[in-house]
Amino acid sequence: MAGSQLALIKNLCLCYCDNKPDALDRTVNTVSHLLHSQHGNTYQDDIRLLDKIWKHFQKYGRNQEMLRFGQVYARLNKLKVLKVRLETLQFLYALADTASTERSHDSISRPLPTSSASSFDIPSFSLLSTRCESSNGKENGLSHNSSHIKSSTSLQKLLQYSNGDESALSTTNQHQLTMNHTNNEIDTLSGAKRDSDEAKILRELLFGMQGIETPRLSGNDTNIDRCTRSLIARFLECGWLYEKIRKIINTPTTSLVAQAFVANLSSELREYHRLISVIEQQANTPGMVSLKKLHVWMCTPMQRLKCLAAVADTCQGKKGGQLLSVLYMHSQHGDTLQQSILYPLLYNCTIPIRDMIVEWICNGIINDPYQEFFVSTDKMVSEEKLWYDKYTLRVPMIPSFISMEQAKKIWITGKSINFLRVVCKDRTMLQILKTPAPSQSLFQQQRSTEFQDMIVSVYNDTTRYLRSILDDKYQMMDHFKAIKRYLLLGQGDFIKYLMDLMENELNKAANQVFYHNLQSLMDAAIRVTNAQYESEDIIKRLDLRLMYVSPSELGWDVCCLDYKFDGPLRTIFTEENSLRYMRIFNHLWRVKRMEYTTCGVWKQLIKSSRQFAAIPEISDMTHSCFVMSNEMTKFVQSVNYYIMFEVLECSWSDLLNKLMEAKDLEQILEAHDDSLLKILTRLHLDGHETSQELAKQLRCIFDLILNFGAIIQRLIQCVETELAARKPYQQQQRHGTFTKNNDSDTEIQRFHTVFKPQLKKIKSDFLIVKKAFRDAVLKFLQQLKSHPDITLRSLSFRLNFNEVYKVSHTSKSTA
Amino acid sequence: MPSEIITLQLGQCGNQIGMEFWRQLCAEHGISPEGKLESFATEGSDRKDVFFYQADDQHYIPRAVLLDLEPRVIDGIMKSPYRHLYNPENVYISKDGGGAGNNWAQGFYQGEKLYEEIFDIIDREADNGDSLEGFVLCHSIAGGTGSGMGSNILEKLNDRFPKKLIQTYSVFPMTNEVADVVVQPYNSILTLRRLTENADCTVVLDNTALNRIATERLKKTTPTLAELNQLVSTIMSGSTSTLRYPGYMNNDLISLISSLIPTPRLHFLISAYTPLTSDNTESEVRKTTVLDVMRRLLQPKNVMVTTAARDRNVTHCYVSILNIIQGDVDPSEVHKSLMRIRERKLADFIPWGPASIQVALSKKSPYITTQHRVSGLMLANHTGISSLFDRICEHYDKLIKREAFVENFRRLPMFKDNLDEFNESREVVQQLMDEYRAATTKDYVNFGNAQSGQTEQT
Repeated sequence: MAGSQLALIKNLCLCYCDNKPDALDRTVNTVSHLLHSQHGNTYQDDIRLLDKIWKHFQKYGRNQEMLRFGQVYARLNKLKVLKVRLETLQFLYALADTASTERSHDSISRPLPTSSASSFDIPSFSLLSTRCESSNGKENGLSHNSSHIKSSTSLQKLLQYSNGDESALSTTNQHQLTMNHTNNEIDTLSGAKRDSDEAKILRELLFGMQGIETPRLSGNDTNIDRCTRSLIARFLECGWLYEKIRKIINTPTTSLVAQAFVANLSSELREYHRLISVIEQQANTPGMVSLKKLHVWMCTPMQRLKCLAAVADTCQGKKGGQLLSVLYMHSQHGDTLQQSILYPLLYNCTIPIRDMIVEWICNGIINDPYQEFFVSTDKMVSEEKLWYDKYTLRVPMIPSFISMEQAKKIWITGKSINFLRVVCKDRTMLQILKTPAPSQSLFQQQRSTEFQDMIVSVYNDTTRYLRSILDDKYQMMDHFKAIKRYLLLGQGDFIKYLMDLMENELNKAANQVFYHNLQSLMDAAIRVTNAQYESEDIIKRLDLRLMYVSPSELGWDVCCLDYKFDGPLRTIFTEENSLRYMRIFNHLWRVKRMEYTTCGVWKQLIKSSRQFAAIPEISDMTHSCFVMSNEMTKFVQSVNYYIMFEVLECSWSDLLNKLMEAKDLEQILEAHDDSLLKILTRLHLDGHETSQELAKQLRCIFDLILNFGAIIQRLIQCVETELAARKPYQQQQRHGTFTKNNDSDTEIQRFHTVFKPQLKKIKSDFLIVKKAFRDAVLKFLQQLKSHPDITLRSLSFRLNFNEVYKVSHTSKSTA
Repeated sequence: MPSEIITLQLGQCGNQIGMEFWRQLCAEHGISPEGKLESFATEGSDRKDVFFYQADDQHYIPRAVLLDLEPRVIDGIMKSPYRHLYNPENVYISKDGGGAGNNWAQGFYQGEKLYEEIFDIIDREADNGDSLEGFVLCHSIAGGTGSGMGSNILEKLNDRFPKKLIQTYSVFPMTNEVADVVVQPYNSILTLRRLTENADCTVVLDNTALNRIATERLKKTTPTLAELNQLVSTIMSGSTSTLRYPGYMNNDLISLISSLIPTPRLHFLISAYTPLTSDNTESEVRKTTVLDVMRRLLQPKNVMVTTAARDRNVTHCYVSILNIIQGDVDPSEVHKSLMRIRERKLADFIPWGPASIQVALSKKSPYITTQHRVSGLMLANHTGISSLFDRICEHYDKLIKREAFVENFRRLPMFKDNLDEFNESREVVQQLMDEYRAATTKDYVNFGNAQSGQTEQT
């Protein structure tokens, strides 16, 4: 019989416990215990029992359920099926009573308290209950039973608390309380007269402690002695704190975190209410509660209230991450009580932010109606600028327990997802997080790495995927290489040939240079040089751009190679970067043109050397020209070698390394930006004052080189006409018909009147250029020395490797 | 294709080193001996069209003209696996096949006679390209064909292509031993005059130094001709590597040599290469950083010309240096190496103008595996080269004083009436040496004045 009953109970409990074995065991035990202890059957009719049940509901503030209970009870009454109605009710009531204690027991033993329902259920209550049991032995069996269970669970609770670092505190507390208790008892017994007074005060105090105005207590009632008054003041402080918290709760909030915070505060207040009602109940029994007892009992609850009020005060008006930061700050406290108060607060308040983080890093969605999340979005931003401007990090909203690094990782992860979806048009579902990191792992990172692990793993997965899309689908690295080959002139044969083809066009004034002419020349250069082996995609992107035209400029100044980008690549190679590349290209192109010019001059000179040798009279002049040409060639070559190594190759190998290491797009952009800036600085294009002067000086030197080129042209022209003019005379000489004196005279005359003056003019122009060039180079070297960028200073090392310029400088000043 | 270069191989020596050069280029570009692109040669960043052109069937054909007065060497090439590489129309052997008999005058005379036929080939080859940059001539200055016919072609090239660059790789004879050809000093002096006056750039390959390097560096007791030629081809392919692998700089011959040659006559370049390996010897050089390479290139023992650091109270110095570094190089190393070299004063430079070590980076062929991370080639203009000319002049002076062996020369039109050509050539070489010595002093900037003064006096 007993066995079948047990099986029945088990079956019943199985439904109740959702198949959790440990809960099942416990429930089965409780239920069977209740069933056995019920034999006393203390209730004769429904009325008393119902009264008890009402009170039970009131005690836990469950008005809603009370109403429902009424409806259910009415229906139960109508039903004739159940014969043992009273017994059933009785059982259910007993079960409810145990369940409520069980629930509070559960909430503590569970690692994450989802509610703080028992927060005011501090050790003093267990004492309170045991005390009323012993002093009021005639209490009915049921309540006896329940309170017994209650006390035992409270003790259990205590023990569990003591598992933590609070053991010392709670045990001493308990000890003290017991001591005080006995003293108070003696007190109450001796001063019977004061009892009635005190009872009155007590009753009013209980109102006062709930923030209700109590004029008699707060007024100057002479009947109350000073000692009591100070005690009363203490209790009234509770009321004040209570009222304060209540006001904060009632302030309307526009924040999910604040709502969670308020909900938590409310439940704390509910607990406080419970405490008050228990005391109220006790106070109905004369002599049970005295002011001093109350003082002892209220000790911890008041601390709790104080702490809550202080926290609530500082949190007012704050939301989101800010609020969490404040809570976190309060939780970093040596006081274990404060820690224990703030733990559930933090726990619950972090949940909304945690959910936002998870939603953001997994789906790239910001679900943030009250602007609390530390990533904000601007819906107006275009696709192209998505990475840069659409999502910004709200630094003040980063909870202080999340490091900046983590926040950035979170920020970038979500951005990457959006970038993939919107810009790369990639809809692949990346990952579904099976178990998001628990709330407390956010603010207890020193205890568990779950949060960090979650972020890192999602970050790694997302960025790796994005990188693979950029690399494989959009060939990012190929474009970087193409940029180096074309915009940074790495494809030397193409650049050389392009310059060959364009020379005539670019010598025109800038406003006479037309895109379509140059375009066809560029196509020709591509067809003929190694650029033809380039992938079609890259060739298609190569383009020309004519920059802004000012009246004095030549085609050389305005023509730039361009490289067209689309889709996600536009994010890396933005318009701004394109402009930077154009500036760099323009500079490199200019230096290349100088190399080209100096080489051309050298070749003309070398190839004319035999003609020069035919006129020995000009050998000093031609020799100086060679020396000058050599100097200019070396200058330009040195500048070019400097550009190649110190500027382009170094920053390129740097960039390559960084790109290899780069995990997310942000790092790629940073590396790219860095290398561009480095190039700009080292090419003195960074807008620095010294740099601008350097650029000006270099322009000046380049102009001199062009001048020199023109002079050499004139010289060669002049020598060629002279040699042509001499030919008939020389032929005559050879044929022995030169004897006529006047022939020889005209020859000499021509030499002196035509050739010599021409040569003289060329020579004086040449000397001017020569001197100006030397001076300009010296000035340039001096300016380089004072430039803040150390790499740029190494240019002077290259230019003046054998330190000839200092030497020439002194020799010139002495000359 | 822009900047094509036509290679002219002259005489026994010219054809031998030319052959090695093409073998090397084919290997570097992944071209088979038949001229077909190898299946593994897919990496297309190299420029083959500077030295090759493609036939209708996509065969790669060298822009090379092979000339000789006797069939032996060219026949050898035509029996080698590379026989189908060359355009048969570009191979020319004199019909009488008698050679030049190691006589410069004979070679020169034959060149004169065969002018039309030879320049038919060269013109056709020149028209083949879009914009020919210049000619590279491979020859030796000691024999008959390379020196004599070479001299003739040099003169003619300048008239025919006045705007094209002419570079020569000239093998200079051994001067420290008894020469195999007795009239070698005559041939050398006569050729040197043409090299001075008609070439724009001459890379001097000194047989004495080549032999020394082969014995010392490669640990060969008696280096074979093939090994010496391999050394030469290493230099040739190395110095053209920047033309064949386009980069930011040195994409054409002119940019490569313009900074090396300050004045028209100072165009004799010395070269050095490191690390040297031959097929069957393990090289002793193990560590190859940029600094190591650059330092070794400055050591006389690696230079392919035996020069004196000092002679006749003149301290010789570098006019210019170009280092071509091939391989996997950290670009920031270059600057550090340059700093170190200047600190330690490892190289002396001219005092009259800016001069520095220019460093060019070049890609290594992906199809050839070497055990070295970095290899380096130096092309330099060093005034010490005059000591080499000095030695040649010494030998020449001894011979000419006795008018020894001049009969062979007298038989030919140029020397029929007198030996003025000898004296004029000797004078040109003397002027060349004087100019090189002058270039070691600051007064070189006024060298033109002295010259014009001289001519005015005379």
